[in-house]
Amino acid sequence: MEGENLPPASSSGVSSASTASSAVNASRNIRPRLTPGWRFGVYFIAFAGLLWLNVWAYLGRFDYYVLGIIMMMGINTILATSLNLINGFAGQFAIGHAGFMAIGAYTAALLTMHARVSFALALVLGGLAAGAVGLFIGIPTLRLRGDYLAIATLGLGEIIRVIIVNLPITGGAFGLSGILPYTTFFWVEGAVILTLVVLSNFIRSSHGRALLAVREDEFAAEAVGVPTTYYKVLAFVMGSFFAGVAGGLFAHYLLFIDPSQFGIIRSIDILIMVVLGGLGSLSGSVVAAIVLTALPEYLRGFAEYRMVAYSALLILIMLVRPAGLFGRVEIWELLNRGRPCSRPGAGPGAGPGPGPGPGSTGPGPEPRTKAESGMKPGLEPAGRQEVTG
Amino acid sequence: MAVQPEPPLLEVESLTMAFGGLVAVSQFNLRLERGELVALIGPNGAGKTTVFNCLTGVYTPTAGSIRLRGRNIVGWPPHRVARAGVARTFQNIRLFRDLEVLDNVRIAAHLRQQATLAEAILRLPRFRREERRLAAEAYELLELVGLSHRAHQLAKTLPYGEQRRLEIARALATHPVLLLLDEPAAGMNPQETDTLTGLIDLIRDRFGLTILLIEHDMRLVMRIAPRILVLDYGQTIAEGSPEQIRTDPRVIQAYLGEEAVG
Repeated sequence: MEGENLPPASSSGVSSASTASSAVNASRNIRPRLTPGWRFGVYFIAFAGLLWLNVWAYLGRFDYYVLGIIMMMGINTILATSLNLINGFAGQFAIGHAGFMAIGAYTAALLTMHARVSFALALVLGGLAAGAVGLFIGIPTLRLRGDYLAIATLGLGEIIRVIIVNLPITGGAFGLSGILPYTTFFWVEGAVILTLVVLSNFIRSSHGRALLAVREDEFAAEAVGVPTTYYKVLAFVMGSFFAGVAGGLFAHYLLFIDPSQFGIIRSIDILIMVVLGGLGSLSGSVVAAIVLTALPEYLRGFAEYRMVAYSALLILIMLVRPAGLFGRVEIWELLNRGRPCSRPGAGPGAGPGPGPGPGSTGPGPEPRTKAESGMKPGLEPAGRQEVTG
Repeated sequence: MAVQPEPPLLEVESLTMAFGGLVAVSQFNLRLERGELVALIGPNGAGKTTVFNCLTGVYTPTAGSIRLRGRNIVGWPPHRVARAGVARTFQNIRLFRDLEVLDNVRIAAHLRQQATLAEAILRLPRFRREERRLAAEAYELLELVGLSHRAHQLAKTLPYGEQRRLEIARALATHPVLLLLDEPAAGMNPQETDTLTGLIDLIRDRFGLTILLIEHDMRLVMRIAPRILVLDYGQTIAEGSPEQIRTDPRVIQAYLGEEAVG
C-alpha cells in the first residue's frame, strides 16, 4: 500500500523495499510515547480530576464563588489558546483579542435576549460574527509585520470597543444588562474541549505545519508552495472565532457586560497568558490560563499589595523562563523527553529500524567526513563517474 | 514542419530587473530543455540571485517574459510558481530552523495534500492515509540525502553540510520539474563538495530534473555543468561549454582571473 504513492525514488529500484519498510516503521515514532507507568499516571490523574470536577459541579457542591472562578478558567483557556494559534503558531504578533471577544459577547447576548435564539446557536453565531470581522480586518492588517501588526490590532480592539459604546442597541457605556444565565460549568467544559480538539488537530496536520512554516520563515514557506497569506488569515479568523465563542460564554456567565470589560487591559491579560504559558504550546496556554485566573483571587489575602505581588510573580517567571512555562513544547512531550529545549531526537534505537542504518555503518575505508555526513555509500561512485566523464 | 515542437521547459526572454536606477539584470535570455543542467556564474553582485528571485516570483521583473512549459509565469506569487514545479534552495540556508528535520520535508510535500481542513480537524480516513503517505515520502527523501537518522532533530542542530542537503530534500519534496540551486557548495570543504556533486547527479538521474545552478566553486561547475552562462553587472557576457568559458578572454578578465586558467 505504501508503494503506490511514493516518489519516483522508489521506482528506480535501489533498496526500495527496505526504505519503505523503515519509513513506515519510523513514522510510528513521530509521536513520542510516554513510558507506560508515566502515561498511566498522567491519564489517571487527569481523568480522576475531570471526573471529580464534573461530579462536584453536577451535584452543585461548589460554592458560587469557586464555580465562577472555574468557569472563568475555562473561558480564559479558550481565549488564550485561540490567541496562541495566531501569536505562537502562525507567528503573527496580534493583540486586541478582547475586541473579538466583545463582538461574540454582544452578538450572542443580543441574540438570546431579543431574538430568542438558542444558546448553542447564539454562541456559534457570536463566534462567526467575530470570525467575519477577523476576516475583514485580517486581510489588510496581516500584511504588516511585528510591531506594526501589534499596533494595528491593538487599535482595532479599541475601535470595536468605541463602536460598541456608540451603538444604540448595545446600551452604550451603560452596558447591557438582563442577559440570561445560560452559561453553566458544562457549557464551558464542552466549549473548552471542543476548542482544544479543533486547535490541536489543526496544528498537528499538514495545514498546521504550513502555519508553522509561516512562523519560521515566510520566504522559504512561499518557496515550497505554502500560500502564506491564506494561512495567516486562516489562523486569524479561527482565533477570532473562538474568542467570539468565549465572549458569548462570558456574557451569559456575568449577565452584565459593558465596553470597559473588553478594553486593552483584557487584551493584555490574554496576551500575558499566552506568553507566560509559552508561545506555540497549547498546554502551556491552558496551564497559564488556569494559574493566572486563580492567582489574583488567591492573592486577595494581600489586599492592596495584590497587583504588586501579581506583577512581581509575572516578572519572576519571565526572568526564570523567558520562553514561557512550556516554551514551544506540549506537556506530554515534556514528560517524555525531560528536557524541553534540546529535543534529543529519536535516539539510536528509535530511528528507522530495519533500514541499513546510514551513517553509522558506512564502509570502512571511506574518509571520515563522509561516514560522518551519513551519505549513502551508493552515492559516491556516481560522483566519481561524472568526474572522469 | 509537420510536428509542432514541444515548448522548452524554461524560456526566459530579455528579462530585465531594475531597482530604481540600478539595473541588476539586463536583457537576460535563457533556454532550458528538459533534463539539462546549466550553471550560472559570475562575480558577486552580478545579478545571479536576482535572476533566481525573478524566476521564482519573489521579484516581478521590470521587463521580459518567463515561460515555464509554455506558460508565462511573470507576476505569479512565489507559492504558485512553486506549485507549477519550480523549487529552489537559498544562498544563505533558509530552513524552518525550529522544526524537526522530517517536518521541514513534510511541509514542502504539503502542496500535494488533498485533505481539507475539516478532514484534518475531524481526522477522517483520507487525512490519516495522506499523513502516512507524506511521512513515508519524507523519509524516503531523507534517506536519499542521507539524513533519515536525523529525522526528529531540530533543523538548526544539523551541521552545515547536512543543512544544505536538507534544503535540497525539501526542494525535492515539492516534486519540481525545475530545480534552482543557489550556491549549494558555498562554505563546504572539498569532501562535502564531492558528496554534493554525487547527490546532484543522483537526483538528476532519478527525478529527471532540470537544474539551474549558481556556484562559485569552479571545480564543481566545470565538472557537472555541460553549459555555463556568465553574468557580470547584470549582462550576460558569455555562454558555452566549460572549455569555451575557461578560455573566453572576457570571462577571464571579469571573473575567473589568471588562477583559473590552469
